[in-house]
Amino acid sequence: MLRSLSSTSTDTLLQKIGAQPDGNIWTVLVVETSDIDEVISELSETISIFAECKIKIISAQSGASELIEQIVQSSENYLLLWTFEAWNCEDWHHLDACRSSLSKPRGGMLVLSSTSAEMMLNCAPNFCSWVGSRIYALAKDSELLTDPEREIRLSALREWSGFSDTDVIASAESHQLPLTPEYGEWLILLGRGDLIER
Amino acid sequence: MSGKDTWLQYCEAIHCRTWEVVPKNSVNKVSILKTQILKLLTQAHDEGKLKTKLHEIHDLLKLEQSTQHGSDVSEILGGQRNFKRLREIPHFERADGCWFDFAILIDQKPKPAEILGFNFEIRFPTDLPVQFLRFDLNLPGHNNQERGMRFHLHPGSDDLMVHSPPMSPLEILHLFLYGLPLPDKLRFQRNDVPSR
Repeated sequence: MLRSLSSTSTDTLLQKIGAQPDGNIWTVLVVETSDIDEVISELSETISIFAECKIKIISAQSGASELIEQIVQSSENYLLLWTFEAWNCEDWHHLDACRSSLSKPRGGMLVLSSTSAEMMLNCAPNFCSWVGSRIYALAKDSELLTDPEREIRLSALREWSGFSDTDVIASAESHQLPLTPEYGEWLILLGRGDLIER
Repeated sequence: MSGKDTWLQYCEAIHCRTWEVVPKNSVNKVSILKTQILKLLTQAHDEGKLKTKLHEIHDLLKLEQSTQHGSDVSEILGGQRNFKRLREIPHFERADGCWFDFAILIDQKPKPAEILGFNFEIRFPTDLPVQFLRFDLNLPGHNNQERGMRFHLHPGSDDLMVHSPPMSPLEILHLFLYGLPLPDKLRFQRNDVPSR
């Protein structure tokens, strides 16, 4: 089942959230376990820009009852729920039975590892049916420049200036590099942002 | 002191005065500024101002990071480098045919993050007498003469530059998307110039 999930970049996910009509709409995002902390940190800062409302991060590590209580008590319009890794099938059953408690003006998102997502799919069928197609696997870092894209930019800079990468690093090391932003970009593309003068 | 020395002093003073009042709250973190830019471009697309499609925005808006050698410098890239101003090189395009790209360099080590430099260039349809406008913020450095013009505007020529008004990257991008409307009729046509 997880293999058939549609993959989404962070940018696409944010646009989907921004395009949602006002209403209690929930999304599930499946993330590599090792990336969950970083993803939560990033989404906590960026979702509010697209959802245009206050958001709250709630940990599920104390179990389903505690999570539902916190959801009910929260006043924010959008919730970001995480730390489901310790949940067993009983916790998911509980959430499944109490899904009507997940009621917020702009909805929310569950960020899960693939293991937790498998358990959710098996143990919370009604919740999954309610979420519908809004279960995505995150294609992390797809906004980062790829190696071919980096090479295209470097080629453009070399052709424009007539210099080589070695020339540019040597100029920067001797504080002779012109101060136009193109040369700063060149250093960044070479992984030598440390040579940009401050 | 020569008049030229005074001008260079003025340049330094103008730059300092300009830079002091540039809104900087949009660069607390690179990820936040990039998301604000994504939101702005998405909104402009939804409002019909930007012809660039949503999936093309993803392909054009990229992030590059240089975290080696103890640095934490990033660049937000909006479109490819296009020194020859060739239409076939990927760029953002307004519904009226104006097209633009940009690049913003940011040092993430200081808190809040610090903008090191940028280029924002918008190009106009070929029947306008001005072909492009480019806002540049040059890198910080130790060359006083260049520092006085660090933040400048190229009004349709790479060889001409004047001090830029104090604008943040988001404000310049708003200008590109919602300002600079194409005139229905040019106020002053070349043919209107009286002969001497």
